[in-house]
Amino acid sequence: MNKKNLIDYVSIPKKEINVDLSQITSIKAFLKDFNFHTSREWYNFTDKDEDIEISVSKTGIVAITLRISPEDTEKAIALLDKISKKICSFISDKDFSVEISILEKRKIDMKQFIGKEIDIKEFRSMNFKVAPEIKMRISSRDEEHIISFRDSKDISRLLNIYSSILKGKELRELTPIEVDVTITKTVF
Amino acid sequence: MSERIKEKISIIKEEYPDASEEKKAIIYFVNSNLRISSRKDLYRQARSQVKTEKRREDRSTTELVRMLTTIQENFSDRGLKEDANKFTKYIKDIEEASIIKKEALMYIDSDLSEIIKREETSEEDRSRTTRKLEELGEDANE
Repeated sequence: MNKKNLIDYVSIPKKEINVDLSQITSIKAFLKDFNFHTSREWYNFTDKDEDIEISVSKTGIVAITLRISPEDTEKAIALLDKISKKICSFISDKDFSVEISILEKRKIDMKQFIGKEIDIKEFRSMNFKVAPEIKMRISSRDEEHIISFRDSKDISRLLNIYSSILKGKELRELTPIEVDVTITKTVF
Repeated sequence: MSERIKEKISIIKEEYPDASEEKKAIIYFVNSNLRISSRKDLYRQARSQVKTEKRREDRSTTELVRMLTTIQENFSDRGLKEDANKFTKYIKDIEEASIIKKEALMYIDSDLSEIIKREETSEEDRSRTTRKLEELGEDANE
């Protein structure tokens, strides 16, 4: 059985919003095939197979989590971007900041990516900026990695970076504008 | 459902005290299904708890960072550079700690989902999620 990637796509309004019931009614109409339930702080939409979960907080945070085959991940991110923007449009016309985290099950050649001079056994996580507006972080656990992007306005630029990482390009080929690389050494 | 099956097992045991091979096989089959079902319930419950915690973390960190940013900007506007820098560092520390916690929750969520799927007998449809996203993507154009 193929292991699936997990994607977490969170849109956070720059200023707090009070989501009202009429906005939720519009989102419910858009997500018509999803099961709906509420909790104290969240409106939750889940598809019947529990592969896609969409939550809208009463303060306007839109969080989508989904499991997807690794080879469909790039396509799913592009679709998620579109779907999330549509849901946010029901809530507010103001700006949202976006955080995307991908738990990647495909192999990434981290040694190639971070540079040969770094002891890969010590590697836990790394933060850096690859464009003025894109903050990226990679962390690893055994063979799996979480790649997170924050504040990315341009989804195609983000997907280019993501595909570069998967192809094993070196960090310097991504031309990071701010080389603020932090290697957290394992203490265990 | 599981209570009903337990009841049936107890009836089989009472009605047929001399265990035949066939009866043993039935009891073994039902018992193992019961074990799988209760394991799956436990994994699902844990996964749901993990997702709830992830959402809580998203919300509480957003609120805290928003509040700390207001204070930081206030210090900055009043020319209190040292205090503003202190709060910039606090915000960074909170965000970093939150990211680490959310990463741990993502790994647990993913592992529990894999375990739940492993327990299932039916083959998973690989393209299922993509198809559903495509349908929503089309609706988003409207």
